[in-house]
Amino acid sequence: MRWARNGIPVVLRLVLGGVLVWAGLAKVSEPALFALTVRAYNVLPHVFINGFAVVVPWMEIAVGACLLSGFWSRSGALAGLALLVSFGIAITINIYRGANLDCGCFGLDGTRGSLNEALVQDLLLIGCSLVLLFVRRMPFSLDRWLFEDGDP
Amino acid sequence: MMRIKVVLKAITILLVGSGAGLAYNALSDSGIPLRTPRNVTALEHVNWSLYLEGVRASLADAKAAYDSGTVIFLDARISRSYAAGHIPGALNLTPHDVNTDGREKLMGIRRDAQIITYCGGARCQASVKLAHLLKQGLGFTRVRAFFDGWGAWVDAGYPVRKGNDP
Repeated sequence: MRWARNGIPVVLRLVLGGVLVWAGLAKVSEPALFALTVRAYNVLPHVFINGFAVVVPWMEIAVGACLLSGFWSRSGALAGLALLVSFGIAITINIYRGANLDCGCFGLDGTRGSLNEALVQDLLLIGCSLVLLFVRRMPFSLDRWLFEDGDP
Repeated sequence: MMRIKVVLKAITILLVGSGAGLAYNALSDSGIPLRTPRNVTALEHVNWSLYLEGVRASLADAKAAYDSGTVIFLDARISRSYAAGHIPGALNLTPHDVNTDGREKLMGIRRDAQIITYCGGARCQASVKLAHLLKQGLGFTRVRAFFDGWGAWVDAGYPVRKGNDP
């Protein structure tokens, strides 16, 4: 079962990291559009909307880059968990409200995905990050190469 | 067990990401203000459209007009408010008065005289209504509405006069 113990964390890490980088890149270049999406969610206080729209795509990219490269993998998984949980809360609130929104998760053209699908994706990714939180010695990672005991 | 170091590093990652976001936003052409701009209110729309029509007098316009001494101010509020305090020299004329006997206050005012109307402040409509009546109904050509009105005038500490006399 050694391949599973090595392989599963690597695959989960690459999936979670890849998805986060993709999601971040899709939003990075158009902060004004993303701010509209954030406003449509109607969860954050008005003043914080623009700041959130400026910062969050880059947070996703930073977290995704850490996971892809395996640098500070556990911390990256934790940071990713924090992002995903906050997204999950915003999505859940709007599903509960019955709001008709575009997810705005992987693109701002307003075409991709319903909130229900988004929540399922979000929960799967939360699962990935939870598993990764418990992997102390991440195979094929910068942590393994740089630090004696992984990301403790 | 989760060590505190992992948490601190996670926060570091998020902070580095935020820093990159702030830097990109500052440098990029598509950057947006970090403080979300307020939603434009209906009042601001009115103020803006008056401005576009050339009907709006700002506080600075009103003060300049007052200092020049050549502009006639019309106070469109009720007489009780007028008596409690008004811009010195202003005549009291509500939009209602224009259609009744108050109209005689306008007698002797040239049709091309500069007139500025005002009422309590940006939330009252009497100044705009009066300006409209004077322009459309009575043919006065140079009427403006001091939209921010009495409130702004008092806040600025400009001269006021009490009583029923102009």
